[in-house]
Amino acid sequence: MNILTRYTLKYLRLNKKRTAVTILGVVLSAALICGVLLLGVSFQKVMIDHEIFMSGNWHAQFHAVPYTKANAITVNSAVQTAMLSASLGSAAYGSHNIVRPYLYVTAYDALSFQNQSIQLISGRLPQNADELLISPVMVADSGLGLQPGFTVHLAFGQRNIPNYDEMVKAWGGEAYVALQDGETLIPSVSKTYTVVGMMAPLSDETSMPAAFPALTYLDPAQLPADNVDIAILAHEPRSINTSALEIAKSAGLEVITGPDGQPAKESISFNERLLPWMGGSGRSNYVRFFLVILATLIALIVSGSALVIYNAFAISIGERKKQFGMFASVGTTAAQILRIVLTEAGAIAAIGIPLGILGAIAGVGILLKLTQGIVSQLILDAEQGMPLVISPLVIAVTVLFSAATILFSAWVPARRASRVSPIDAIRQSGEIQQGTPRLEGTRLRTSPLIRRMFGFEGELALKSLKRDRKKYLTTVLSLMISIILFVAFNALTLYTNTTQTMAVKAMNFDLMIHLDYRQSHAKNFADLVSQLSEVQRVSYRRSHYSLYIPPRAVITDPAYQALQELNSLKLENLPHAVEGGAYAFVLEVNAVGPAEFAHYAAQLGLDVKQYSDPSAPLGILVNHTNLRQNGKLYNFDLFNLKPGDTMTVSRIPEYTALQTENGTPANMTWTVGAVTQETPLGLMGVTLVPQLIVSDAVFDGLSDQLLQVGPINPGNMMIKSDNPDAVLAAIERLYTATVGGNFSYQSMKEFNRSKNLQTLMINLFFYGFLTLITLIGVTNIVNTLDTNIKLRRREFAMLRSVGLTPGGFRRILRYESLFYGLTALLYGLPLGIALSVVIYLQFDGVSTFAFTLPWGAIVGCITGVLAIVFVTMMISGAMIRNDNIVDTIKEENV
Amino acid sequence: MEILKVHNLSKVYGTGDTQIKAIDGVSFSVEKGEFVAIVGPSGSGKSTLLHILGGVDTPSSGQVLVDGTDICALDQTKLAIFRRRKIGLIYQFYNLIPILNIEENITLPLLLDERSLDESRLKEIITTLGLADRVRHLPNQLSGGQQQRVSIGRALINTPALVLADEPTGNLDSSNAKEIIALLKLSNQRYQQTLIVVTHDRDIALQADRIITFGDGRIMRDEAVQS
Repeated sequence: MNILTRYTLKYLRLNKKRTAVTILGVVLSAALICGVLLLGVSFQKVMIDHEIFMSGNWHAQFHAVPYTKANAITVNSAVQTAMLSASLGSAAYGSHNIVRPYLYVTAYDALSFQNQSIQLISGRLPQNADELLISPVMVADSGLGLQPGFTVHLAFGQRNIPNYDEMVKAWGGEAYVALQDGETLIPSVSKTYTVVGMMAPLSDETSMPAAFPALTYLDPAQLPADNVDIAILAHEPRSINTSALEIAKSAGLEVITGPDGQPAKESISFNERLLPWMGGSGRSNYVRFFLVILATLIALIVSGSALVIYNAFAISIGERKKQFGMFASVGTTAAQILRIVLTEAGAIAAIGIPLGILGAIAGVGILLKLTQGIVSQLILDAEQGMPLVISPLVIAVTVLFSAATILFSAWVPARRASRVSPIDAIRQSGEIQQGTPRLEGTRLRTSPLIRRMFGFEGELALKSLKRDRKKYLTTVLSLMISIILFVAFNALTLYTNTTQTMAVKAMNFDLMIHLDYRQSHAKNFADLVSQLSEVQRVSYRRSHYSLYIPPRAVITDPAYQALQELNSLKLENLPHAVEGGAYAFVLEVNAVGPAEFAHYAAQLGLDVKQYSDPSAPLGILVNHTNLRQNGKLYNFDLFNLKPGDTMTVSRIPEYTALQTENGTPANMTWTVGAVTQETPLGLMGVTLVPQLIVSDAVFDGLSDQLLQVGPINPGNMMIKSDNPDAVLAAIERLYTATVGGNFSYQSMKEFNRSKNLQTLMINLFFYGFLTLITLIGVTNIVNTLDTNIKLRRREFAMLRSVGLTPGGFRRILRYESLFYGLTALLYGLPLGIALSVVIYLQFDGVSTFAFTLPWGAIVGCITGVLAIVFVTMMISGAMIRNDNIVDTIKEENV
Repeated sequence: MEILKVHNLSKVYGTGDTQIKAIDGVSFSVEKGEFVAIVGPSGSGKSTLLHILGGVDTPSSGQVLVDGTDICALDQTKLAIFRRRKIGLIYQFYNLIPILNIEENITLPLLLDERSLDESRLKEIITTLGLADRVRHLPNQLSGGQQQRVSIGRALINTPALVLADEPTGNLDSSNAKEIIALLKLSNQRYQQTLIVVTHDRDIALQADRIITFGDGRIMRDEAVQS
């Protein structure tokens, strides 16, 4: 073995502690890089699986493609798999449920059945165009007792919905339009099907208020329709947004462009849930936000890791400059010295990187095992939790990146070391001379204030920090990264929790029942529910919308100002400016059910009777706005209205009334009975849409007039109860007994549980990373500070020989720690807070809380940083405090 | 007046067979204002003696009284304070603090003591040492001779009871060496500064009032110099 290699290995062996610290740094960094990537890949995998489960395995779908052109898409070279499907439309099937009377039948080809998210419960998939797959919910709802093997007769046709085209367009398909009053189906084709299997309810089943989805087989030989839908899996899902257009063009399809310049949903739709996870340019803000955060995280972790490695090598080599000088003086060339260092780097990398990768795999494996229960509750289809995906790419990236960092970190100081003339290197009186430019006195000058404040020891401490700027900065930087991450993570957690708490608080109900069916039936049902003993409060909310254009004087000044500021933002639901400096508001008139209205009126000290006369309609105005936009918090009343004032509303321009009276403008006048910030159960407070709460007597009494002015939305039922599960069971019984069939609901208890799980998961990951980052930071700091003090052994001995007391020595160390800590905090905290602001802005429009900071975390951070630095300095200091002055001074003198 | 009294001083390294007596029952005293040279071969214990006198090393037994204080009985803190007030140490390798400028290095004992500076004394010392145009420089910007002059300044700034120099010219060429000795002698004559110099150099030793010759940890000869 070459003498230089032998020397290097011997050096590494003899300096066990230094070698161990360097290897530890490499292990930690490699582990962290590998761990983040592994987690990322595993998370990506579980999300892709989840989204495929939820919305099917397809990337883009071409709608209403003439069958003659379908083949051009199927054979396109960018297309991996093409799946054909066709909507057969609504059909009556003899259901006993008169409010949900239809089946909405779609035909799938074999590939569609394979890739769409369909779970077969019993039986088998349809294999010809006469077979049908249905959901057990439909079976129960229809009361037909269908089973595999039974036949069912379907009468297909178009529903005669008023304003058919508008309605279908607005709801995104005929199947999603609720059953209208007096609606019938005009039958065109009849066909008898054999039920062959049951499937778990499809994800859009609950959004079809008048129908149940059913599937049959699409046989290309006997095409049921002229047009088919073609879903594709592309070879390159990343570029699907552009390639889909090219595919459409090459197939000769006409693509309708939407208002945003993208293809409209009627032409081409994309799997918006799946694509972002595959790196496609999805339009989901949430995923993009998540990816931005992940990228920032990785960048910070990677740079922190690189710093540790760089620092460890810089120190190890700086320490040995003298030895390199000695080598040089006996004729070692610069290239040979470089080789010593690179051998060392190679040896350390060979041990550190594999250990780091193994550690990461073990660590992530354990983390995933620990979170298995949580993940499987959170993502129902991921029973096994997140899979540990050991991707060779991740390992390769880790190895390459760590090796490159090590090489760079070793090479830079080594080159510097090999450039110094031998005698300078030998003579060095400390690392002070290592920089090529000679140290200037001016750079070390400190303000006299320092001496007055901290004494001479403080000044000395500050000067020793200033002497090697690079090392100082490296140490401070690694501390800073920990600080920034700590503050930002805590801010993110704080904001997420605040948003959730507010959301939960705003949703002051325990149970929400969706009653998509006909209003008359729903209203009766609401009355029945309010009589259930398990129910404490119930509101049945129906809303009416109309246009309210108040004179300028009615709008409050802060509201007017805010509207002017906000109008440039093109927000939805924003009152728009009309001539004469006024604004056009949408007024939402709500009825909440007699019981809840009585409760609400009593709460406000109002007399219900006054509010019950449709001929003199009185309403309770809620117009206090709480809004956050562009990081600005708005908090004001919209109007200067008092009890007794009137509000005259007019017809919403886009609204076509059912019985139009030849275009005569319809108006209505409401009288304000009271103004309040309180909302009844189930209403969440005002943004820029003022709300007027009226009694059901008024709402129903004026319903004809209301319909002239604007639409009435069938509402939801919100329930407050101590025992939501019992209420749910009671409602189910009641529903079966009265209407029959099923209904959909949302339970706050379940919602909160899933939210809590999500928060727990996020926290687990955050704090996991935070621990590792802090560990890296601490390793870096300990390494730097410890070496720093040891290198100054002689200097300290010298100071002691001219009378530095042990107390003074401790003071110097204490001040040095303080300055290190303070500088890191000085830069780290503002950056952390700045990052918090950026994070806060991400919550814009989502939440309406004022900017705040995680003060607890900040205080903890300050204490932690100072404590870590201080303890390290003191431990290192204790090791050299009892050095023999004379021996230490003599040491290393030539 | 006796400024230093050494009584039966010993310093032993190791135990048993490997025991080495660096100093073996040495006793002597020095009068205020005396210039004493300690000479002797390498390993004779002269540097060890000097370090014990300076309070940076501890004896195995015996007593050292500096200006009436038994320095062997002081604890670490008191000893440090004693060093900065009563002792000026000059080393062969200057041992300046690299991050402090010349003025700060010279006034280091005062700074540590948080005492106010006697500006006229500092000025006088700096002028005498020929460092007037270098006060803002850092040690590594100075030549060896200049650096040693700084360490002399540091030793003298406090008007200590004892200035101890360990081979102060060992690292310097002959002209610089002469200059340093001349400065030490000057301080001895001008300020009545008591001075103990350990040296190999016969010529330097002859500048002193008294020469103590060391051998095997013991005083072999103690003679006044005829001038």
